[in-house]
Amino acid sequence: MKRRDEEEFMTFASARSAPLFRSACLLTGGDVHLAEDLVQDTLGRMYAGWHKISTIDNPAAYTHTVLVRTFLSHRRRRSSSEQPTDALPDTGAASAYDPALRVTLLEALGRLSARDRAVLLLRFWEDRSVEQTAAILEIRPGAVRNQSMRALARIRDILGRDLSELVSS
Amino acid sequence: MPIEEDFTEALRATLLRYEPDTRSIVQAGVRNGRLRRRRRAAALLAGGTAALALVGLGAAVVPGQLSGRHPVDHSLATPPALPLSSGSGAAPGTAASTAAPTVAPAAIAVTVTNGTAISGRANQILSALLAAGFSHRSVAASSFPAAVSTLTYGPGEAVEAHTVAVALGLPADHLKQGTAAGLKLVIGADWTKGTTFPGPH
Repeated sequence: MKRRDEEEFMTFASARSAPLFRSACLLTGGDVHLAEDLVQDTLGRMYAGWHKISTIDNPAAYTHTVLVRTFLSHRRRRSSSEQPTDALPDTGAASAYDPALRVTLLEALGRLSARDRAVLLLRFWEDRSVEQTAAILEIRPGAVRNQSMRALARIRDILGRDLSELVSS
Repeated sequence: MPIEEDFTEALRATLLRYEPDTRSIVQAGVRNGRLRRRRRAAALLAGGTAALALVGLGAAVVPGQLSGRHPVDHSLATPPALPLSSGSGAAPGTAASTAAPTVAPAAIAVTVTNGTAISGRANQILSALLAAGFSHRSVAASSFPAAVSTLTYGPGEAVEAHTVAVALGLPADHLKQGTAAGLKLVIGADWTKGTTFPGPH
């Protein structure tokens, strides 16, 4: 890679790694090690194709698309590897939120299917439209609507009142 | 509050606490990428060798097959094309910059959040900002419902905020100074279409 491209990539990757990592944490249901692997893998793909990717109009959105696709193909390769997470990083950041609830939400997410988490991530965290989500996951828009409704209902069932508690605190 | 909004807010409370070790993760990403490039180069080389072998074979057995073989070998040797969808259906780059900013857009990162009932708005506006040269550190996210679009900026960021406002055609009374650093643009119910603010200027 040319030096200028390399520098450009480094700036991009440094700026995107935290948002990518957070999205990856959602996808993995709080498994930070798997999330790190996913981000590394995604950045690696970006690096390898950077001369093409750097010219598209929203490389950041594209990178998140690659993250989701990498995650889903990863899941297909080792589908039996679901491990409940027990080690969450203590970032020490001041927050009004109870860490226990934080774990609860990720645990609830961890009990959904990988594709459910992907739909929730794209729709409610990355603000993608139904159509964009459908294109990324290669399913029909109707399926996106159904799946996000069902997945949200499951989250509500698992968490009960905890979700609104988490928000109102 | 509807469950969608509760959920988004719960995600915010949860995920914003996650901070990766950026340096090591980027370094690992670069290592991963270099490995991918080497593998790709090796695959190209191997593909080329295989093509030559087939050429040899074809020439030895059925010379007429040669031309028919070639496209197949070529497609095997070519790395799979990246699906270059930008992840956004929005038409980018309509935002016009009229005033000469004193801070380069590339140095300005904006957190765009969608406070409308229409999903995808934050990403549409983000695409326009990126197309107009704003920083790739800019991000899009979901948000609480908001009636009015606002651009909040931190202390000492008035010039940056102005540059963003000009690019989006956002009137000055939609700008307000906050206490936290960073530019935060909330897309409200008064801005449900387009990447330029529709109100009177």
